[in-house]
Amino acid sequence: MHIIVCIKQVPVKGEVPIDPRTGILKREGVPGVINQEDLCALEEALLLKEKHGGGVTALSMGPPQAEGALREALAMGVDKAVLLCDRAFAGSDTLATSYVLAQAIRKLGWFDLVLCGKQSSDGNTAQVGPELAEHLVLPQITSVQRLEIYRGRVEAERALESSLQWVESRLPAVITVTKHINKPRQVSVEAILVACREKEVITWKADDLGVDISRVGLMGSSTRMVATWLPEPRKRMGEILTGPTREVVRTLLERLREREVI
Amino acid sequence: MQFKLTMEQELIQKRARDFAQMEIEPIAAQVDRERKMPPDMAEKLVKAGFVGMLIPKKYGGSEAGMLSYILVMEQLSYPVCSCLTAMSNNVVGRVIAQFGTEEQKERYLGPLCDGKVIGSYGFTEPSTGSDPKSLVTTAHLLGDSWIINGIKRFHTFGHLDGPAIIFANVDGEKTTAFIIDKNVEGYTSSRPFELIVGGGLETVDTRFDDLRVPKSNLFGELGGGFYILLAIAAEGRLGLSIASVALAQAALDESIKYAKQRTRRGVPIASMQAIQWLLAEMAFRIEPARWSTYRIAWLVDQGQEVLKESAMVKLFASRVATEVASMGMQVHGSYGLTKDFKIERIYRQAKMFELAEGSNEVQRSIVAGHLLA
Amino acid sequence: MSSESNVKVSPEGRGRVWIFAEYSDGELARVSLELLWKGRELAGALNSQVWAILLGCGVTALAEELIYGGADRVLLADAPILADYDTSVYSQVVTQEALKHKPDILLIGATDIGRDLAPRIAARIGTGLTADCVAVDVQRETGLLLQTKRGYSGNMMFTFVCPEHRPQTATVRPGVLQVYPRDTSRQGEVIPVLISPSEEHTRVRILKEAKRPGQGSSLEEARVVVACGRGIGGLENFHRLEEMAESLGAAIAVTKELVDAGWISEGHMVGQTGKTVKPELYIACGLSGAIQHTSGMWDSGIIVAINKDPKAEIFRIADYGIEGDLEEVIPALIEEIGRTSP
Repeated sequence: MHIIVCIKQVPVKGEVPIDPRTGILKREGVPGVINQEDLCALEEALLLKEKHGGGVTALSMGPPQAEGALREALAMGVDKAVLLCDRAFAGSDTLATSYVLAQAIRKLGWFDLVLCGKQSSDGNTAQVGPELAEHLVLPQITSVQRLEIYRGRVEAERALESSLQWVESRLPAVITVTKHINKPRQVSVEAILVACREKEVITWKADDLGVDISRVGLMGSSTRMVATWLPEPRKRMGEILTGPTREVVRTLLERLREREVI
Repeated sequence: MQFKLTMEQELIQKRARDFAQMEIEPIAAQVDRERKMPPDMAEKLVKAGFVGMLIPKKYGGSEAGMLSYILVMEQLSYPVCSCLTAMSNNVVGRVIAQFGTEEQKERYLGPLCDGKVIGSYGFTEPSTGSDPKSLVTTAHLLGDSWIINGIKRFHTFGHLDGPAIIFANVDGEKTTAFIIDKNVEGYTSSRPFELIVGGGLETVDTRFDDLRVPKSNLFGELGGGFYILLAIAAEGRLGLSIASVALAQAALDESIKYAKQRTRRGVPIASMQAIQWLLAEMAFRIEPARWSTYRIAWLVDQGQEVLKESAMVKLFASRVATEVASMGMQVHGSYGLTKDFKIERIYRQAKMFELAEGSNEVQRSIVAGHLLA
Repeated sequence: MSSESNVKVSPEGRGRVWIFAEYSDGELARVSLELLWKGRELAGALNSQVWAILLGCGVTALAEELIYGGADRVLLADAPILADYDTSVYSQVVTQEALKHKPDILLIGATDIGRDLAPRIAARIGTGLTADCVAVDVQRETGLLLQTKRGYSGNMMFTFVCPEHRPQTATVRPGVLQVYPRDTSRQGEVIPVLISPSEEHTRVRILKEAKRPGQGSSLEEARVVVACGRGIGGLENFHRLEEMAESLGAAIAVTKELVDAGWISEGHMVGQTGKTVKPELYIACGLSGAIQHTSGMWDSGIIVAINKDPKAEIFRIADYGIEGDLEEVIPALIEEIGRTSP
């Protein structure tokens, strides 16, 4: 079975500087790691490969430094790694990103399953997976924490807010996974060396994919960031009650009753 | 000149950081307190691929390179927990690969990569610090064996199973190295010294009483021992330098965390100039120590000999460790004296770097010797 | 199958706001009413209307409720195939109607369904989407929807617009908006929607569903919330806290650690990656006031903080604070509440 995993390199933690000219996040030069839920998607793909045979391709759209994420995926054991890298892709929102990924997936050829993390730690949109499914005209299953493959069909356990849901669909399908699905494997130094020294990361540019330039990058994005700021801390007149516990508790309840909240 | 780690080095560094956070940090205080090594640490280090980094692929290592090794040592040393026993196999293994016979490489390198044995070396003696001429340990050839007599002091890991590179004088002044397998008659080791650094740093006296060592265990050339010692020392110093950097970094990070949380008169002490200046003093020392060590490791990877450079960086980095640890204690105030904070362990461990692997006095002599040659 | 041409909004359609209605157990989800409340405000500012789009089977009564909640018109698609939510069928129906009526703005709750459906619709139509907004407002002159969300663990706010593509779509976090009181005198039109679903091959079949264990009253609806984190100490203290909550008729909220410890289900988590609540009274026990948590309860009516550390950040956002040990204060509260209750 052939599985494609879409991964994203995200900033290690904390804030990412914003380019004041364009209002877009500056990713280059900021140390990156594979988004946690994408790491789980990679792990799940590798587990499925171990169980059912076949191959895994890791795919990522990003700046040149995103190659590091793909090298790590190779060290984990994926068979093929493809980087979609072109200045034209910079500033893409999820609509443009999913479009580019879909083009790449079509170019990769036959597949049984596309896996992605549910959401990235920087954007938190959880949009790319479903949008990708729409472009590829495939069933989508989101928020998956367990999945099983049986003869061309997939059964998945979804973690919803207040319930667990079991669903099934035919393959191929697009599935987004949460971090509860597995614990990603750690790679060894040997695997890293082989991945970096002997394996290949294929790079595709806009031309290689035959994308419509007007649908990628900043130009192809439908949304634009117009403002960013730090939230105002709420000012409340705090009354700190002091004294023996019994008294303090009584005073509090009095106050709350006065204000009719209890 | 590329002042940037390669992708490969970044991935290896990240792997080591994850390992340190997951496997070492959680047990660091306990190892220090109980002075007991976690039994499976060697296995975990081997599995992660850290133990064979300086050993050639032909013999089971990964040839990751000195800079990658240093990056790993930096991350693994950050929790400030001496439990990295198996990592010494890298330095010993590399030396055996450089100077050993084919038979010696075949025999020793594989098991070192697997972490099943621990490599060590013994030079220092009760009456000899660093002067090879005054070595008291002797070796003389009798038939097919070398007979070795003497004592080594502060022979780190001398009591653990594994090959030990021992330096002895042959015919008076020919300093020569031998590889000794320890489970032989005539080899004894004392109980580990109780050092102020806790946990897994175990160093012992080892004693050779008419120890019989086969001819094939002559290591390197007759009289060529000092040259081998220099090679071990040059690279051992790098490991020590980066461990100093890691310790200093830990001191700084702890101090920043503490300064932000601890309040006096309603404000965190981090807002006070005295504290701010201390933190700056700590930081500006760490930066050059780190990058200098990286550069020297890079030189090793280029095939360059680094005797002078490694002595200089060891001098510098070890001093950075003690100074920064001391400043860290100042930031913590009296709380730094308690076992509730990591800084106390950092402070205790820091001084070692100025004294081990050739005290800083020795390093000064080495550097001066090169300058005036 | 994403549409090459975007929805082009006609002059009459300018400012028209749609909300996607959700429901469970025969009742409208509160978030749908919140969206109506906001939708009316936005549509009002643009001199237009707010419509609701409702999909389901046997949900005619809910269409009426949407009118009572503020909708001017309800597009009602009622058919057996819509009984359970399915991404492809639902996105097909909503898209079909959107292409027909060309709304300017589309608001969807950032619920499980909402976050699964919205991007599918956005890609299908070919429009922009901002997820998990904590505020939406409109610029009168331009008619642009200002979509604001939190990022980077709650430490920054970002506002987005969708300048050209339509509808301007956003999913909105439940609990950040208000609702209108139910007004049965409100009038509005219910328009039936005819559907002819296709695309069997993208359907996902639900095999079974099981409610996850939850305790006490629903968090978002609760008037009073009692919250705690790791500072509560052991499980017995937690149980005592639950006792106190019960005596106040309050819901329980927790931080991530307690969910991870298995003490309570994720549905009770409040914070940046959890829920946002705005109860009238929020009692924070042993919580330090870290932004990961406070971003979820910021706007509560009255905040009470109980913490033994006088320097804890939480006191800065509290209306009343008690500096004390939970082990003493909670039992005292339980006693006092019991003593003085009617």
